Amino acid sequence: MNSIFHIKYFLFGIFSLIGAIVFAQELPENEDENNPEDVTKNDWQKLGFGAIEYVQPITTGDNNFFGLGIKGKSGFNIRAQLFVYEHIFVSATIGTSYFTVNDKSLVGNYNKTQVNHQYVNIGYEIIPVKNVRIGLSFSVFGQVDHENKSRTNTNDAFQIDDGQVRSYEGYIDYMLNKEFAICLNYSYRNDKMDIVSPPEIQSLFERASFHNIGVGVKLYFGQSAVFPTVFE
Amino acid sequence: MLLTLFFMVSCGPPEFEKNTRILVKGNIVDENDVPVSNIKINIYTERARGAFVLGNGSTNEDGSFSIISLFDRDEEFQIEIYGEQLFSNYFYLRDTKDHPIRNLIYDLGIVKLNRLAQLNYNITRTSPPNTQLKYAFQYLNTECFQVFDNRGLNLVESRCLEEVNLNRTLSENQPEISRGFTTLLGSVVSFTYSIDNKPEITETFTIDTEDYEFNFSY
Repeated sequence: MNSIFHIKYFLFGIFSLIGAIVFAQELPENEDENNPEDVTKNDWQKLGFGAIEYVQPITTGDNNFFGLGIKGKSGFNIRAQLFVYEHIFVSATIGTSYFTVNDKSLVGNYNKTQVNHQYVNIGYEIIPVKNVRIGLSFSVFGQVDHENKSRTNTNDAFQIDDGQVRSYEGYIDYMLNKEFAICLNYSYRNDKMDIVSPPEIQSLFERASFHNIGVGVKLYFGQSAVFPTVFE
Repeated sequence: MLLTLFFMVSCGPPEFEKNTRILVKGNIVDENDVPVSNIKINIYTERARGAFVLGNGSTNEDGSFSIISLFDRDEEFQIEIYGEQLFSNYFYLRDTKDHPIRNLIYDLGIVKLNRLAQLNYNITRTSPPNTQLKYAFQYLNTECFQVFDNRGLNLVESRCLEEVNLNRTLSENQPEISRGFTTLLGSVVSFTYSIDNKPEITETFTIDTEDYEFNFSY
């Protein structure tokens, strides 16, 4: 069983866990009146969110084949995030980004690349002002495959490159109400690729680097972290 | 249903070698060892649906080239250097299924391309009707196929700038002809003829210009 299967099971596990915890959580009745000290925390603390994002990938770097020969086009992500303990969260992301080749002499003869990724991040979120949430995270594991497609008038063909996701991310959410938020995301991807090439060009193919700027919507749920009282 | 599934799978687009890039490099010079720029190089693989280009590029001002390409394990993997109308063509062939290069560098070294010349010939008849002319041109063709395996150049299977024989007979049906062919500039061409089955006579001449005219009357 390869790591992609592990990640898929992990994602399935996260979604199952979210479902189980959401249904298990009971909304405290009249808690605000009974314990005024909890008002602030009950407002911001969530179990997690689900999000869908449009992203604009921008390739970068003059030391990797992505930065030199590939141009970003568009993409989307679906993300689930769980707050494990107060501000600390774990998120799982699956998505696809689309790229076009602008220098075939540097990458090989193909026209476009479809990047399919799935990865897990851990991070920390702060709430600097009311209705605004800022989170930072990095990937702990993840898989990416690049489907490189060539198309001529008569024939289509493809080739696959694999790698491991290295992602460093940040987001700013603006809460429209207690559940819905619009978000602005940034991530820097510096994926480690499994491409084998001659030693004199190997450094070009070790990494695939690009920025992602995205916007999306989020649906927050729950009122407490997965382990709300672990340190209490 | 299984047949449909098989059809869908077998008819899908071909997939080339995963996670692999190769480097194809070398230097191209002409017959006088002068570097040749702007020569196109294509790296091909052959599949059931036809030939696919894995990578391509062209030579620099100094005649060197270095092309990053996809790779395919194929019995008919080819690197083709096109001299187009100016130079001879060169083909590097290798069975990369059984004889891949481990370090992924396909270094062609120095590849010599010969400048081409067009020989146009006019044969006219001045002799009485019913005179028969049998003639033959012997000249070098303009393509070089070199087959490589793990031991290096396979001389048995390689064919490079081989001699071509062009034989014709002119008689009452077609007493005169104007044709042409492409050969190498600086090469020697033989013209052998026989009039009315008399003993053959051979003339040789060197192609010293890119548009060579050859006129013969019998």
